[in-house]
Order: sequence, then structure tokens, then C-alpha cells
Amino acid sequence: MAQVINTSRVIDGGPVVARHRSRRHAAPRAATVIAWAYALLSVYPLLWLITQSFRSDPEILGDPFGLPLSPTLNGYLKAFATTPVPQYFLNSLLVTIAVVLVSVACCVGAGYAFSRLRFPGSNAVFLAFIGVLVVPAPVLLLPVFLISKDLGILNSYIGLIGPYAAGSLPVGVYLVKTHFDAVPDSFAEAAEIDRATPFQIFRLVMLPMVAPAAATVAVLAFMHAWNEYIYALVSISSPQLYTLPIGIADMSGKQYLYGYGPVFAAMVLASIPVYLAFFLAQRSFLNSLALAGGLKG
Amino acid sequence: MVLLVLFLIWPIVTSVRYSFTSASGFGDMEFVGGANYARALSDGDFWASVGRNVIFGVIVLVSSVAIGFMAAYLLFLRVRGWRHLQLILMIPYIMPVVVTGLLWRFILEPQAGLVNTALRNIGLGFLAGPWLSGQSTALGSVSIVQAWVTIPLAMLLIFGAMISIPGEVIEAADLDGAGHLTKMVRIVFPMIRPTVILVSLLITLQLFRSFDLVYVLTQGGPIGSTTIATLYVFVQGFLNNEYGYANAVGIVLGLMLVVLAFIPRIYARRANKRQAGLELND
Repeated sequence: MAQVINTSRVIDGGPVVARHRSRRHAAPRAATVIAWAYALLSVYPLLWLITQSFRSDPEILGDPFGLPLSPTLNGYLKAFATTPVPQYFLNSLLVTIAVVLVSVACCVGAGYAFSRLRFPGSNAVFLAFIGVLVVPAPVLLLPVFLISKDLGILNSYIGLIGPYAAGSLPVGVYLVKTHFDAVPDSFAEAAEIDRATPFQIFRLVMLPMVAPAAATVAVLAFMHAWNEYIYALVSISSPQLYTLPIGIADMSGKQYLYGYGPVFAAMVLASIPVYLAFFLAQRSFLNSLALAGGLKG
Repeated sequence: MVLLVLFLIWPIVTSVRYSFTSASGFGDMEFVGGANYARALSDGDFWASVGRNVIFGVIVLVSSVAIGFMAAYLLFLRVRGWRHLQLILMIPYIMPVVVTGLLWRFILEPQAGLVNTALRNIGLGFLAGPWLSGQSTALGSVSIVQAWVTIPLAMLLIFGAMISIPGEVIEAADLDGAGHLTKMVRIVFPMIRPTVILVSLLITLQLFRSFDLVYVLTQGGPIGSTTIATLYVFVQGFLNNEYGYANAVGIVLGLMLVVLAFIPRIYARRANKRQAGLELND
């Protein structure tokens, strides 16, 4: 499936793109106008959220379309001073970092094993791995919850990190394995002749070759861990362990207590890391989004 | 490895095991055989939720593939600043789901919400309604919000296919004096039809798998009018504590999805074979 939906060319701008560019047919002006008008419309909700987070509650309720004519940081100040948002933010950050590290380490390790090491039944194990891709996620939600309950890790950081990291494994391992497969054997052999130890071969020769795949895995793991809502909702019960998504949802339910300002501010804060990462690592992001869309079957 | 077994493979086994019992979270757990499955198959509420899921799926699918295709085509025309545009258009898709849900709840809020305020401002106040809390409009509203999120995905995948159309084909069409609309409908669309079908199936699968956005928006209400199939499993399992029954419903749903999931695979294989003759490397 990965070869059917191949977006790498979108991002790389390979030879195909070059050929397109050479045909200097500018798009009609109308198309440009339509495209940008549509873009504006589709991001308007986000722009609205950002502008409203700098207004006071009476202003928001009075005229929801208004611009922040007298911008105020009250929402943000309140969010930090009187709400548990900083705590939620730290929880999310901790869980997300752990999930990214664990996922990347596991995917690279397992991907290398499946690609280079032949052990009895390695194919069968790999197929089992990929088979999990076909199982729909909602079917897993409940049993994962029950198992975590039996293990006594509900309502803890580990109880989130484990399932989140596991969730990124099937796609990740598959991706890393195919990247390792693409490395010619002669690379490792050359290093062997130079008397590199197996670990040196892995670290200095093989690892750099799969860096793009590892980056994609990291992005997927990051997005999943930072945004996940439902599982965190059912497995975390103490407010001091809330991640940002469930924390914000909880705050919005207590509007009489917090009002709009801090909730909007918290929503903006929760989005910042995602968009920051997106604009910094566009290539990895577009790759992994296409992959996630294509492989989450 | 351990992680995978612990949180992915073992859960499936557990799920099957539970689905044959009357587990409810309170000690007594008896083996009840296929009773849960019989109940699932004859559960009107379950099938109603599947039906709602189908309506939800069709609205979201049609709108996101159609709009996504057109957006991809605009990018394909290389409109001014298309590289930036491509990134900007992805924004709804990567927004954290809770932020999306809460944001749209404010937008669709009956009193001070954006939609109703706008309608009142232009003198169409009579159209203003409780979008998410009205039984007749809730499912449609939820579908629109979901489409807002899904359009960028469709666009990205379809654009990926468009860009691999050989430049000569487009040039030939240009020489023949084909207009943009003709090119879009007569040349670009037929050439990437396999991808469009594949993308449609993938999106369909996702719409039958995720319910987080719907949950944030409406919690499945009002009066269950937005309880789609997976949300029904969730409600049975976590709110009604019917672990055994929920697992059985989940497995029935899972099997339906597995069947659905195999369609794109078969289709992809056939499309690959067909393309193999045309493209040597890829």
C-alpha cells in the first residue's frame, strides 16, 4: 500500500515536479484566489481561537467575531496561576517524551532484527506484528484497559506510556524494517572488513541510513501521545495525573469556575507544540501523515 | 517486543476470552458461551449505531474526498504559494482532537456561537439552531466537523497521486487546448481513480474506528443520536461496565472492519498489477 500512496515525491520535489515546473503555465489567477480563500476559511477556526484567547470573557460573549482591540493576557495568566494547566502540560510533556524515546528505540531495534537477523520463526513473528495492523483500534481499547487494571498500572504514567508506545510499533517496525532492507549488504560487509564490531556496524553504518524512518516514527509517536484523549480519559482518574487533552476537556466542563479565557489559552498552549513541530519538521510530518493515513488499516 | 505482546497481541486474546463471559467488573464472571454474540447480533441499539455510523461515514467521505480532490487540484495547478498553501491546509488535520472538539463546540454553541451569531447578523436568525444539542441536526453537525478534519488527509493523499502523473500527459492536453475543468474531469481524475478509491476506503475504515472527536463534541447525545458504532462499544464497556458484552460487540464490529480492510488490499494488488506494465520503477 505504501507504494500506491507515495507522497515522498510531493515533499522531495523529485524529477516529476521539475518537469511540471518547466511547463511555465501559471495557474489562472482565479484558481489562486479560490485556493487562498478556501485556505483562509479552513483555518479561520484556529485564527479565531488565537484571537479570542487575548480577549476578556464579556468581550467574547458580546461579539464573538470581534478582534482583540484591547488585547489582554489575562486568559494566559489565569491559566497559569489559578488552573492546573501547568501540571497538565508537564504530565503531557513527560508522557510524550517517554513514548517517543521508547517507540523509536523499539522500532529501530525490532526493525533491525527483522531485517538482518534470521532466527527461527522470524517471518512468522513479523507477520503477527503486521497482522495487528488489521485489528481495529476500538476493539483494543477495552482489553488494554482490563489488562492494565490487572497489572495495577491504571492511573499512572506507565499506564499511558506503555499502550501509547505499543500503538506506534506495528507501523513503525514495518517502516524501519523496509528502510533497513533497502541498505545493500555490501555496506555492512565493507565495515566488517574494516574490523568493525557488530555493534559498531549497527551504530555507525546502519543507523544513519534509517534516520528518516526513525524521524517519521518519532513524529507519529509524538502526535499520538500528545493528542490522545479517550484512553487517557478512562485510565487516568487522579486530576494531578491528567494529560492536557483530558485536563482541558475537564476545565471546559467547569466553565462556571474558569470562564472562557483560561480554557481558550490552554487550547492554544496545547496546539503550540504540534504546530511548532509541524513547521520545523514539515517533511517528516507530511510523510508520516500520509503513512498514518495509508497504513492504519 | 514485550510491549507489543503486552498491549497489542495479548489484548486481542483477552478480548476474545472476555467476550464469552458475563464479566461486569464485579467479581462474578461466568462462562456464557455465545450468548453475548447472540445478544449483539439481535441488539437493535447496536445496529442503529452502525446505521448512524454509515450516515456519518457517507457524509464525511463524500465531502472530504470531493473537496480534498478539488483542493489537491488547485495545488496541482501550482497556484501562487502552493507550497505554503499545502502546509496551511493541513492545519485542521493535525489539531489535537480535544482542541478541535471544544473549538467547534464554541462555534456551534446556540447562544453566542459563531454560526448562530453570523446567521442573526445577516438576518437569517430563524435558521439559528442548537446544532449539536438538537436531535435532528446533531449527526449532521458532527459529520461536518469530522469532514473539516478529514479533508486535508484526502487532499494530501490525492495530491501525492496527482503529482506522479507524467508531465507529458498534461502538456499534450494543453496542446490540444483543453481547459482546466476538462483536464480535471477528463484527464487527471481518470488517471488517479485507483488512488481516489483507495483513499475512500481508508477514510471509511477510519470513520468506523475512531470516535474521539464525536465523543468530545456530543458524548454520543442528544438521546444517542450521535452514538456511532465504536462509541456504542465504548458506552457499553466503560459506562455500563458490561465488559463481556462490549467485547463481543467490539469483536463483531472488528470482524466487519477486517472484511472492509481487505477490500483496499485486494484492490491495491490489482491496481499495482495494472500499473506494473506502465511504470517500470516505483
